[in-house]
Amino acid sequence: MPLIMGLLLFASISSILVGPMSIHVSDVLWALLPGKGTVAPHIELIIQQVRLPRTLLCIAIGAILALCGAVMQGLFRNPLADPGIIGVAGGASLGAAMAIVLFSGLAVSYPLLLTLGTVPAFAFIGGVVTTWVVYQLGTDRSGTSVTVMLLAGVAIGALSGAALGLLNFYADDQALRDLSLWTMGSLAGATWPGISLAFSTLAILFWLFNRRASALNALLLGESEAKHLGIHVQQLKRLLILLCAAGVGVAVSLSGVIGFVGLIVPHLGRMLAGPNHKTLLPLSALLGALILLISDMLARVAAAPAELPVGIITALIGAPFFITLLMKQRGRLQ
Amino acid sequence: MKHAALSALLFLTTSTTAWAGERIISAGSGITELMYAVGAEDQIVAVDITSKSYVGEDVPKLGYHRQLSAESMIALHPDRVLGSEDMGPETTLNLLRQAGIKIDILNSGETVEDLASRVIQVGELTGKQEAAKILVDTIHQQVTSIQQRLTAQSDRQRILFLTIHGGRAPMVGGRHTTADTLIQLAGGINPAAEQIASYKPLSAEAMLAMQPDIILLSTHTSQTIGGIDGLLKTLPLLAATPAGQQKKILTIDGTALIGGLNLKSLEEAERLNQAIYGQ
Repeated sequence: MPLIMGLLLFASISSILVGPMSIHVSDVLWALLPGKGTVAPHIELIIQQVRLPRTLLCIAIGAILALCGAVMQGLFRNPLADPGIIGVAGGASLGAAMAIVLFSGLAVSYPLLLTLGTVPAFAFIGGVVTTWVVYQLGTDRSGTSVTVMLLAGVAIGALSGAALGLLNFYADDQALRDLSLWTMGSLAGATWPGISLAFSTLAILFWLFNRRASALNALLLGESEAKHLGIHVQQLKRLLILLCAAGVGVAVSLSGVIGFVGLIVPHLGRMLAGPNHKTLLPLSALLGALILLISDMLARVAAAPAELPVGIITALIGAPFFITLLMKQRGRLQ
Repeated sequence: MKHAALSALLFLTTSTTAWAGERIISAGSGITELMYAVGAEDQIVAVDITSKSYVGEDVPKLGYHRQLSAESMIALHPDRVLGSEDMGPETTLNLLRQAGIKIDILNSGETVEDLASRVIQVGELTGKQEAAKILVDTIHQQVTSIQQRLTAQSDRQRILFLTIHGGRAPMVGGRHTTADTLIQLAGGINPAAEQIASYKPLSAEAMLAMQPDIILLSTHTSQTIGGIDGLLKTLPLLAATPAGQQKKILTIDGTALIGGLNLKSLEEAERLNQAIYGQ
């Protein structure tokens, strides 16, 4: 854990020092201190408005995605679960698509999301609504069946895919390209209001999830066993699903769809420190932040002066790393 | 009167000296082409990926014009960025404005008027008004002579423009596309224009109903699918159209279709007209 924290700190500093423009370390430090025009205004702008916000947004989004992934995997007791599994990513994409294609001219005035624009607002609403539908489909008087929810998530995902296809058909080329870019994810849109939103979301999620770490541990034994231990399973499920939907909704609305982090990071966490959620949750948050930071750094400089979509990088570095770990851990997984 | 003329002249000269020699990033092929055409290419410090066929190896390419990196652009110290409405993202543009870089959005429309007004704008922004005026006159002359020639060619061929990306339904160019303007200037009729706007996937059956005399493809598409034989293999139904029966396909340079109607489009329209009607 301290090692990971050290790495994260190191990666954050590197992320501020590294970019397509070569800026001397001393200038970077001066630019981080407000006022006192000791460095050229364009350098100050790049550090204060590009690199620093982007670094912070990476940390928050990476941590949110990994946390929600860890909670989903625990809740569904399924190593393949990720935040997308309850349809939140599909719904968010659909919301964004609707905003891009149908309402791109309208401004939505919704206080919290006002600073973020129409597309993110619709992404958030789309994500939360889809999750709610999936949850309702999986729930009856006897409680929520995770199996039914998983299946409903797949079905709803297919449905949003179809709706996206339909929008694609009726949209003009421009809207289409906006849409495809948006679904690849990018952290280029880092703004200070967005960062505040991301960190407040992260803080709330982190606090609420950690308080339920023991309950999640109990759930690993199975639902009925958890009930015998005095845990309100149904309440727990509802709360965790809602929180994940909100978390991923916020993440998607700020940076588009970034896959992979929520699926892989919790596994890395378990390989490093075992399945206990009390350590797994904080460790996942740290690892998620670290992986997204490194990925975004590469996205910014690998093809400079052009920029790569960060989703490509997360998959490129994450997947082989993950496979290597799997090979090493095979015995323990079986 | 004289006074007004004099001040207008003065205004022209002062504005010219104000703009000339700026460092300009051109984020759009329709703009890059025109900067070269009016002789302002020495002001270009970087371009987007769609402009790459116009510039040398040494000019930095900033990637896709919807996904520009603010830091890379500021690092090049441009005075001005020219781009189409597609240029983005908005956050990048806002950062550039904060860095004191001027941003101009030019049209990327598909009509001759769009092209002419784009030429004038590029001329004004680069201090090459004179060259731009001459170019606009040339464009109008070119179009007029095309129109005159067309009145003599009464037999209108039905031309359908297709783009085919492996495995997906072929897209057909409808109205409000550069392909549509190009077909008209070449003396053809675009049978898809009545039914669809912009580029839309169309079933082979719908294409059959349009009974095209000629299928128009981009050079790249034609090479990828293997000419007329490859096309008939991909879309067997086309064999039942006049174009399929007479194995008539024509190809155009893909750069003539991006960034709105451009100089290359006019060139290609003339060439097509020659190919269809001969002299």
